[in-house]
Amino acid sequence: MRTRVALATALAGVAAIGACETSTRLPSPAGPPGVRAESVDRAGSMQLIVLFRAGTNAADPVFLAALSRDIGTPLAYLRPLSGGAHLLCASVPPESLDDLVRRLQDRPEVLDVQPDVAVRRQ
Amino acid sequence: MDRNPGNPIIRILSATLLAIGLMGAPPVFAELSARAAPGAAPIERLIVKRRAVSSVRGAVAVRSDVRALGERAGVSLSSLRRMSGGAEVLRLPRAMTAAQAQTVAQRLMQDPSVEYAEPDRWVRPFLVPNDPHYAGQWNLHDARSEIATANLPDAWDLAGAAPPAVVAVVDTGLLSHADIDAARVLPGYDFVVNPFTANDGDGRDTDPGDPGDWVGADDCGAGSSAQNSSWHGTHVAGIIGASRDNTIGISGVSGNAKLLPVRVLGRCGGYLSDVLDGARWAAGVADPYLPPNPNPAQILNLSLGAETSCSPLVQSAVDDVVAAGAVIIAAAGNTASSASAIAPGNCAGVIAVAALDRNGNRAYYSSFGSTVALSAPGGAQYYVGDSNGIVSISNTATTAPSPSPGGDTYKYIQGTSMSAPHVAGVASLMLAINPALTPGQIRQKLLATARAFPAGSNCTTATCGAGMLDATVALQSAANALAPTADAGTDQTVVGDTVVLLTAAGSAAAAPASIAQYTWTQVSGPTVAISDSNTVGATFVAPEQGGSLRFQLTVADDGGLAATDVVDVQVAAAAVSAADASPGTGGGDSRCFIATAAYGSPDVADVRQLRRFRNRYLLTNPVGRALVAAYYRLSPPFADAIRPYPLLRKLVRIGLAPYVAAVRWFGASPGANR
Repeated sequence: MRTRVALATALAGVAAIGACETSTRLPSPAGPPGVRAESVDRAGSMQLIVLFRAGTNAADPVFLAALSRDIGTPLAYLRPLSGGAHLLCASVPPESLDDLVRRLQDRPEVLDVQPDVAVRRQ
Repeated sequence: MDRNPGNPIIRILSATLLAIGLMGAPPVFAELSARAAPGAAPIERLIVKRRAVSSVRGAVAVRSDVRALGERAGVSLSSLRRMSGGAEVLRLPRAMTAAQAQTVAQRLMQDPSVEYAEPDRWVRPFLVPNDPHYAGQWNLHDARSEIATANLPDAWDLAGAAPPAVVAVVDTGLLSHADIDAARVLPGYDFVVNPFTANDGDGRDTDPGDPGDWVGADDCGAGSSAQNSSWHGTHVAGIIGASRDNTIGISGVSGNAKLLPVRVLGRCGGYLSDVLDGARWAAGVADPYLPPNPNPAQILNLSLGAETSCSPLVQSAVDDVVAAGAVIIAAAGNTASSASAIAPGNCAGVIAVAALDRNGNRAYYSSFGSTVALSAPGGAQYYVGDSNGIVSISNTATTAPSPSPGGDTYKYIQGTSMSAPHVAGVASLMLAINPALTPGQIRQKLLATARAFPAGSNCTTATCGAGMLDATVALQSAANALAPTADAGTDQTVVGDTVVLLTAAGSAAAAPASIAQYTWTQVSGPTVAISDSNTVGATFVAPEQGGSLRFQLTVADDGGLAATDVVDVQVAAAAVSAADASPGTGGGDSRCFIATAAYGSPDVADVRQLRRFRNRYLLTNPVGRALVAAYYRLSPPFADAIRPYPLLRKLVRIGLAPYVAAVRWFGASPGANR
């Protein structure tokens, strides 16, 4: 059972990674200000910067599978970031982003979550 | 011998022509530049025109007239030479201040034979670069000629040839351009991971060049329009560090600065995660997930922004950069609304820069508000190529770049992206003349030296920060960075169980800094609890048994400089009567003024009881300390008044009796020990 969960999560992760890292196009600068949907591409995939508590192995497929199951959204691991954070990918509708962030922030192993928002030249 | 071959009027005209950017430098300018005196230079000569001066008058007659004129004005004058317009140049007996020379001139003006007289002032030529497009760089010109300029010419004089600090341009990458000396470009890094955004066929790599960020319709989301490549990072880098005085193109604010290109943006922008990694790398933050950076920057320019709050994750990256010793400067944003919604400019420790138009107003697009630190020229354009924008280097191509030098060009654009690099360049010059400045000091000095917004400007300190960037005054401040002085007061000798005041009132910060924090700590002696240890006046209760105590005062200014001083307090053991010698009780204190006067001695049991109450209950909280302080101010005259009269003292003792009883009861109650 545990293997099947990890495998399913890994497959969902592969799909999410595909969306996040190969076809993601940042949204139009003309979008309405303040709408967090700017971090969500047309396919609904988004990246999250997550800081876990020390000792958490965020890249562990088993851990990620359990976390995905608990929050009800498949997460894929992308890569570690500077400052001890990790980049995760999720496929959610834009309107569910805030809810997903809240669910992650409620997890005891999560210290902080920041949507990997679009940054633009000024 | 008069070493100036030209007359003053011609020099004034010539300097003015230079200031407005006409090219060519006749020899007179070189001489003036070499002899340029500061604005407060002494004045040795006057220009005087006398009435009815005859063209046939001989030199002897003129000298005679000058001597008589001087005698009437009470000053010894001698003729140097005649000049155009019928005036003449007279030498003063000695070098004078401008005010003194003006006084002499006014005295001469009272002479009926004098039509006008005025000090022959030094005329300072602006240090005018020979870059052909400098005339269009209103954003750098002298503040005497442009309202919103960053005021660079005199700053360049001050900076001289000192090597400026490394500036990281965290942006879309950097193109080769003939107006940026390739030797000043350090090996950078490309942090853009996403292949579409990167547009260079791969993810992160060691090539921070700009492959172009052009997009087609809908590429950045449904409904988005097609756009040509912006060459944004190259334009920003040019504002900071285009070569100055190289006879081509423009002048950079810090034309000798070393530039560290850090690519984090590409097509449609970039991801926050790449920006945070790039910023940490630029500052040389050691991190297992970042490549090594052998050339960390002391200044980071981020002409970018995301509409998000400054989350702890973003603030953490900013903190890491500052802790690494770098200044982080960011665009305030182009939303024409609150800058507090734009990261990273809304993070603590970031110098967020709003944009000014040429008249010192907030540019129509600039974000504004309390998170803005200061303003700098960003331009305000109303058509493509409008020279009221900011000119800098660019590329002729609309998609992939054309190679330099054939593809080199210059463009006027606008934005807070343009205002931020002005500040970054000035910070680089500040570090050039004072490498010891900390990020906090640089911020403090940039803000403290900003020029006031002009009258009628729509900017206020609540919307556009501390003022308008002024490079010249900022460099003057940087050159004179002085630590504050800490004064812990004079050593004291006190009696045990008394309240001792430690005062730092003699401390001072060096302008333009101000004191940010006082910190009192005990260095040696019997341990005491210091109350209000972060205020100018701290207090403690001297140990009853006496001893030698030393305290250290640390005074920190808002620029990050600190100074320390120590004060010694000798405590004599309190006189303790047998009745009151139980452990934990207070000793004698002659400053219980009224009770001491009423009872005739500080060692009476009732007086000691009142002091114990003061020490245990009043001095342990701010309200109580305020009451005690007020009592000490008000009670001595009353005590002095009753002391000679036994009847009055007795009446006061009767009046105090209920209080003493209450204090005894309070001290004996079970809850009083909490």
